[in-house]
Amino acid sequence: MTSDYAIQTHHLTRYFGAKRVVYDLNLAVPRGSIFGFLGRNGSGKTTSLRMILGLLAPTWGSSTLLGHDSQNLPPEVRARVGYLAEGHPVFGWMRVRDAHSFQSQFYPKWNRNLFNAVLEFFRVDPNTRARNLSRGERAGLCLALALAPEPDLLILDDPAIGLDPVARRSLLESMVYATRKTDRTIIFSSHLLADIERMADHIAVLDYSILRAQCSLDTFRSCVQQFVLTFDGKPPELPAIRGMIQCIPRANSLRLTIANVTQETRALMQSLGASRIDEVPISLEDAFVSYLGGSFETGQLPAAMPPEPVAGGVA
Amino acid sequence: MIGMFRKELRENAKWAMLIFGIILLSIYPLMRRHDPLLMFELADAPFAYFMPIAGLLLGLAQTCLEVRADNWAFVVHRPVSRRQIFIAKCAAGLLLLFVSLELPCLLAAAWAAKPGNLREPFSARMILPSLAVALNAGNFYFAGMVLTLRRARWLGTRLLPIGLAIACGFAILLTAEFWQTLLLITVAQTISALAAWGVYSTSGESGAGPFSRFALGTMVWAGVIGIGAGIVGFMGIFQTTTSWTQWRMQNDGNAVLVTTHLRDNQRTFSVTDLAGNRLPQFDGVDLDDPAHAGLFVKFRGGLIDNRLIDWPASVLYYRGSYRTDMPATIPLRAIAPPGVRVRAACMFNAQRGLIEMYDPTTRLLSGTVGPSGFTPARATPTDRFASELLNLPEQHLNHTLAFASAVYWLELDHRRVRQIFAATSDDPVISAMESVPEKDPTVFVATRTRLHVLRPGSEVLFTVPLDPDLAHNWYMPTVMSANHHVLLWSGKMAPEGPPKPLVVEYAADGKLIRRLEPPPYRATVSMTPQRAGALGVIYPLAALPLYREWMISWLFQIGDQTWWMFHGWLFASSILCVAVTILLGRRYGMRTGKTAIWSAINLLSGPGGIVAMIALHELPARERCAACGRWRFAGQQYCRHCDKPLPPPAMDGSEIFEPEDLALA
Repeated sequence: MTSDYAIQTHHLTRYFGAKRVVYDLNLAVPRGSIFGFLGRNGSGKTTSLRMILGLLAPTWGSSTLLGHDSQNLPPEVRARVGYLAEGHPVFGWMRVRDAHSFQSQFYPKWNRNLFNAVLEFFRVDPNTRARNLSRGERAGLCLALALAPEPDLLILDDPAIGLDPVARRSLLESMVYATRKTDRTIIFSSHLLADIERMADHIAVLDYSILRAQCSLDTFRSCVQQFVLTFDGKPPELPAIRGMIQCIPRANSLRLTIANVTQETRALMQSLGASRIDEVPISLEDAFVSYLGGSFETGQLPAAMPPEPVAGGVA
Repeated sequence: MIGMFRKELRENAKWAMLIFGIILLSIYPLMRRHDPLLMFELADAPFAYFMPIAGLLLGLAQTCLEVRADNWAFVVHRPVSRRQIFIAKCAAGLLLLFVSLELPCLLAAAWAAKPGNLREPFSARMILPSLAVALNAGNFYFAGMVLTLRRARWLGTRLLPIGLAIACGFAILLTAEFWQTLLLITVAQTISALAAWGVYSTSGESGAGPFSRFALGTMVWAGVIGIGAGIVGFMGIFQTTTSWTQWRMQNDGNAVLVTTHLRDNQRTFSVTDLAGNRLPQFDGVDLDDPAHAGLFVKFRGGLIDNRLIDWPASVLYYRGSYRTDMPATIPLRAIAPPGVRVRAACMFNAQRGLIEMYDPTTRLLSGTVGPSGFTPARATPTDRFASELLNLPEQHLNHTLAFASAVYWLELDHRRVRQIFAATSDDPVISAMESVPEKDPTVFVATRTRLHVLRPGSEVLFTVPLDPDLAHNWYMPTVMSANHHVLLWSGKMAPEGPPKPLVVEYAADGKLIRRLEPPPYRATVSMTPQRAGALGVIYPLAALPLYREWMISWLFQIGDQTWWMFHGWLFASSILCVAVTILLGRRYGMRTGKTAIWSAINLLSGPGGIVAMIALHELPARERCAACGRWRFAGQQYCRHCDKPLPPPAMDGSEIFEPEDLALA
């Protein structure tokens, strides 16, 4: 099973003092997949990726990267992992060509043509100092630096952050270009649903430090369904429906978004006495929004969310 | 690694150039005025302050961008071990730091070594003082890294690790030899580097292993001790009332006890005889008033074997350190009779065993003086002084030039020295000096066991045995103006308990008039009980046996009256630290063994250890255990009460996992 996955985590958990950031994360990223890591701000995506890369020690739990323990990654494994950190960090004083020569000396495999191609795609002048690059150009430089070693695994932490639509599109196209090598795995975190929809074939959804979904995009699409229940009068009190992620009441109707709809679910809806039950098509974006934000319609935390612990900190 | 090293060099070269420029500009005024002590001033203010600050700022500048976890991740995520990246970073930083700090000093040394620039002989050892300060800047460099990268709750605890570098800076002022300084800096820098490595490798957490955690704890502990010492010192500002007692000798030879009272910056005096009876003739007399300066005998200096002076007094008061121009170069001041000007700057060059005379205008060597007289600069001296010059700290006051085999009288206005005393091989000279008045001085030559009193013309007035000898006591001789009697005031070389003075008086022909051994007196306490108590609170129990009794008394002015206060608070504080450690251990969820180790550490290290313990541990959150309902630590996977693991997140049916067993992995 290990060989089928580029990344695996086991009960990965991280606290920062009293704050629980990632809780019991069991993740498996198939080799060769483009894996979208989705979640709202502060849901624990970056922390998870840092633990997976061995940049941060977990409070408990473990993870493997290309079959190696994340906390003891040998340099030769790191050479096979490209990483684009959040915020596109570069050495501002370096010219682009200096950044290239600096970075290339660390890697045994370095595809200069690929580096130049990505730069050209982003129209980055090699003589420009990195601090003078626009955000899009800087993202391009970072992506070029991450892709040029031809990594088996590419980890992109919110790569499209702060980019305009054109730059974002360029970035995504570059990623598509990079996946021509079929066994390359790409995992990228984002909260831009369009990017996920365009790129990813597998997704994981992190909500308040807890993994709520991990599946192929098609499975996710098929598992989240929306129904409109129309009543003759005022809708009745809604009983607990397993898998319900959002309920929007109207004057004489209820709009329910439900995951993993079963026969029991349908029977329960029937029993509410609705005059009509219509299944309405739901876009992936709506499905995501419902999934991640639906609970807030009623101002309640998700049921799976354990209470936050109390007190803590560092001196 | 080479690539990272070069990148760090390139990235930080601008800071090094700035430091280099500032130091060079600061040295320039000293060079312009041809300051003879140029090389030693490079280890003094402002350089002694600027160099550590430069180290601190360079450490800070080299890591400030990596405070952001993303930037740090960008630097460390590459196929090189984190240790190699850190080593490359530090190697580049330290290289830049030391070059920028020491290169200007070396340029100044090269300039100073060129004849005509300084009117004194140059020796390579003059570079050592500035080198020591520059090397110590390395401690501040690592402290800068730790301050920048380490996560801390508030600025105060963030700044604590700088304490070790500051303590090391003070400690090297107490070292006598350069190798001791080097050893001290190496130890401190190893600790600082380990702590910096721990903080760097974990992106701001408290360490990557036991060694780096221990190192960080040591740095924090030193910071707390430093703050404690600062508080005790600060409390002294508010101590407006104090008093102290001294022996003084009246012009008629009677010893009296003078107690000085300081209250609201006003000094008053009470004078008693040896039995403690008040002497009314001194009532209302301001002994600070120069008009009353003639009431007591003046002592001009001492006969002392300065080779026997204990550390640290030898370093602090007798210039027995490599950071001074002695013993390589001893400036000679009393070189001619009073009122006679000599147009030469005279130095005793210990390496050459010659007196060197420099032209004050051209600053060039005009010639040398040896036992047989003057030799022009270009000629080879016919003879040299054979052995080590004695009584160095007080040489500037004396016309005598003392060696083990002979004592000379300086007559450099005639470019010569005159031998006035020759010692026997079994009783070598230890010290020599002269007494006031300057126009008609009396010379005192002390051999190991005898005192020889003579005229500058070498006429021996008398010789008496010294009991106790100079191996055990120092002597301050003078000639009383009223009767020309010779008065010796003596004390123990090593202060042990209350002072035990000895007064011996001889007639002009050497006849013993009296020998007085007054009873020991109790020095009045100058440190208040509050300050002594505060010092006891912060003082580590482990350091108590390290100090000799007199050292504490001498350094911290704790007298007998506050001794109990100091010790009481010391032991109370140590016991309290153990209690606090046990409570903290429970709060941190430590195992019993770990709590016991920390308790032992904090018993010996005091409150500093408590702060270090807090700094090294993250206070864990608590939550109710789902299995047993008792408080468990959120950061621990298993409940320490029921040993059940934290339950997985509850499922509400909205979870989507493919394959389904993934959720249960």
